[in-house]
Amino acid sequence: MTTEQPLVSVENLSRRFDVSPPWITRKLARQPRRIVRALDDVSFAIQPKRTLGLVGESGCGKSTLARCLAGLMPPSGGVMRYAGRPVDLATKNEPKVRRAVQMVFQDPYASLNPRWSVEESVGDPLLAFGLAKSRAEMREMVGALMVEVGLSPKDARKYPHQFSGGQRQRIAVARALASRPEFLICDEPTSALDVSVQAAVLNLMRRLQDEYGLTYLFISHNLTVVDHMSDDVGVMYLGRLVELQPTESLFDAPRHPYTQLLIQTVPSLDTIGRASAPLKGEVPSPLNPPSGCAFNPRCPFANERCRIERPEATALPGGGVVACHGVQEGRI
Amino acid sequence: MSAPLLDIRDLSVELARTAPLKVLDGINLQLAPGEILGVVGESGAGKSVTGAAVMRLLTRPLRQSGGEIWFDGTRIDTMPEARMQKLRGKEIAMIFQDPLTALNPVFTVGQQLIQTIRQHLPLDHAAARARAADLLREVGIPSAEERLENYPHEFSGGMRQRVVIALALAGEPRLIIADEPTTALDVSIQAQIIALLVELTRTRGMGVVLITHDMGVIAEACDRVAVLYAGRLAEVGPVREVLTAPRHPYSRGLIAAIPRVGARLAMLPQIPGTMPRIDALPPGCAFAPRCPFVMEHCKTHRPEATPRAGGVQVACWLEEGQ
Ligand SMILES: Nc1ncnc2c1ncn2[C@@H]1O[C@H](COP(=O)(O)OP(=O)(O)OP(=O)(O)O)[C@@H](O)[C@H]1O
Ligand SMILES: Nc1ncnc2c1ncn2[C@@H]1O[C@H](COP(=O)(O)OP(=O)(O)OP(=O)(O)O)[C@@H](O)[C@H]1O
Ligand code: SF4
Ligand SMILES: [Mg+2]
Ligand SMILES: [Mg+2]
Repeated sequence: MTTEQPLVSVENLSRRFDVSPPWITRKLARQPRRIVRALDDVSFAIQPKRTLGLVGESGCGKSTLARCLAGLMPPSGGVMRYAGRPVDLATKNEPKVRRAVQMVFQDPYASLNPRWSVEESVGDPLLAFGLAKSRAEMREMVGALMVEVGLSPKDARKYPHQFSGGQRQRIAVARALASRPEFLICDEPTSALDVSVQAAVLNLMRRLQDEYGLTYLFISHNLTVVDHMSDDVGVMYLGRLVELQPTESLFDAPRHPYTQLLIQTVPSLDTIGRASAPLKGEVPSPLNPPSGCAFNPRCPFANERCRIERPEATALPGGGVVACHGVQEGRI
Repeated sequence: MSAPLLDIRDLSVELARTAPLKVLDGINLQLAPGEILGVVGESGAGKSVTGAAVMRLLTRPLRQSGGEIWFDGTRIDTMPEARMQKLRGKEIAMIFQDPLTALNPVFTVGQQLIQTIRQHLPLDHAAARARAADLLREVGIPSAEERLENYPHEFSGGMRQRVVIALALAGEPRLIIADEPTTALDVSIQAQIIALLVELTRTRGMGVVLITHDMGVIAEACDRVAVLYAGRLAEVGPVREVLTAPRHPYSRGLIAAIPRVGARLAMLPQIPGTMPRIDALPPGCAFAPRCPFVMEHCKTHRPEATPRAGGVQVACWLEEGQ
């Protein structure tokens, strides 16, 4: 990790959701309010032109983090800095940063308006940010973007439902690239793609990173893809960042017990006919997270302290951070 | 192989246009009870259309134009819609690629589960509710009772997909068509869902057609795997054969393109070019324009899927020594 100024950093970012039943039901059933802490005090920094990969269990808050960073929802607490300056992208005040920060969604349906032709979807940011001076120029640029993502310029006149799931995701990548972003937040960008198209999109993202100096936050449940793409990898569990390390150290020497289990369960071609033993224990409820370390009910190393005291992120000697009592006490 | 639970014979699906286009062309696939058949292939190859055809959920402009589909000894593709409706959701369930299409945003997850359960099983409301909570627990959703009250948008993407799986299991089906059921899930939940599907197949003799892009999942869960390319079957066979010794050049390229932990390649091996659009298929082998081993014969003659050693069928002229 370098000491250069990070392009993007967050400090103690939090986001809560109120998922209480309606007031009257709550009163009748004497239920308390229910709050999901989807993001809980998350801090990290991404250096320019680097890729931070992010993995973690379903529901741990990855998409919430992505949406907060992209300004699609306001955080409940904490700060985001862009090029060192605190920004609040959920307000309309930052047109430059908003153009520079783009997102590719987990669900390709979410990023494309079904009633818009591909040309309208991909061309919209070009016109909105004044990157195309005329409709003709816009059309030409859309055609070039379509070719960039492995489609044909002719496809631009079609509508999203006329494409397969994977083709739609490539269109979403084209739309995100249209405004020439500096920071691209990719929320499961290739999980709808077959492996050969995935290889093409990942290679494309690598190439674009080199050519345009892009910085990525790369979210994926696929650890092999994260390993391939990332310089550093962060691991989230129940709204908290439990480990962050340079990719190689994370895969070669994972420290947090959750990371260790994740890396053991990566499905691979070498495990034919041998479904990896799923993580034991019930997935904790974000509505009612365990006290102390949220991972303690499933952790083979948990002790009394783990059940009571919440571990804070502490620096590792080789760079990176881990939030685990066991590691800090030298037990793991 | 015991009598197939699902038998797809020479299935073709057309895109009705002025000149009809073949989205699926002569697909043959069999699935035994208690078996998991993986289906892989390029995006747009026709995997979802295959699933939709079995469910009889093709919508215009798509329609079945040839072949037969048999479920447990009964031909279902010509069955009256009223009878098919009884099978659908009950005997044959589908897990869709996109969880949002399967869930209704205006009803709670509990309402949707209870309704589906009662549609298929003779249970009263209270029993159906208990069953609904059980199903949510079975697919690994914590605080299942309370979560029944939540709306789909209050779940994360992965949790929504698990709700969809619970919905599919509600009628205790004998055949599940799972279209990318774990794409949105992280590895540990994916492992749970796959383990659940494997267990249900083994214990209940349920059959599963598992459409997925994740070769790791195919390796772990499936007994056999079919590779589709441009609406045609390129290769089908036991998982070990196809993954460790792929014969069809497309299967070889596909398996080479998978990133592997620790490989740290700058770029992944990529199959050059893209799959041809269905309105521009070459006259011979559909893979010929991208194939590193292409021969003159391939460009004009279409290879048929032919049985080879190891229980594999391959549609490639290399196998014929042409
Ligand atoms: N409703 C439709 N109208 C027109 N064409 C369609 C429709 N649905 C699918 N197609 C076309 O049929 C072909 C097969 O699509 P299908 O959805 O089965 O692909 P797939 O293999 O499931 O791909 P993916 O991996 O991207 O989900 C594609 O060329 C697609 O463009
Ligand atoms: N709009 C919302 N209202 C209420 N709760 C929400 C909302 N969006 C997310 N949540 C909750 O916040 C938590 C984190 O969700 P998020 O979508 O960020 O997870 P994720 O890590 O992206 O999961 P996945 O891998 O399944 O996509 C979950 O418990 C989810 O139920
Ligand atoms: S038939 Fe020919 S073109 Fe097609 S995959 Fe085999 S070698 Fe390649
Ligand atoms: Mg998500
Ligand atoms: Mg599909």
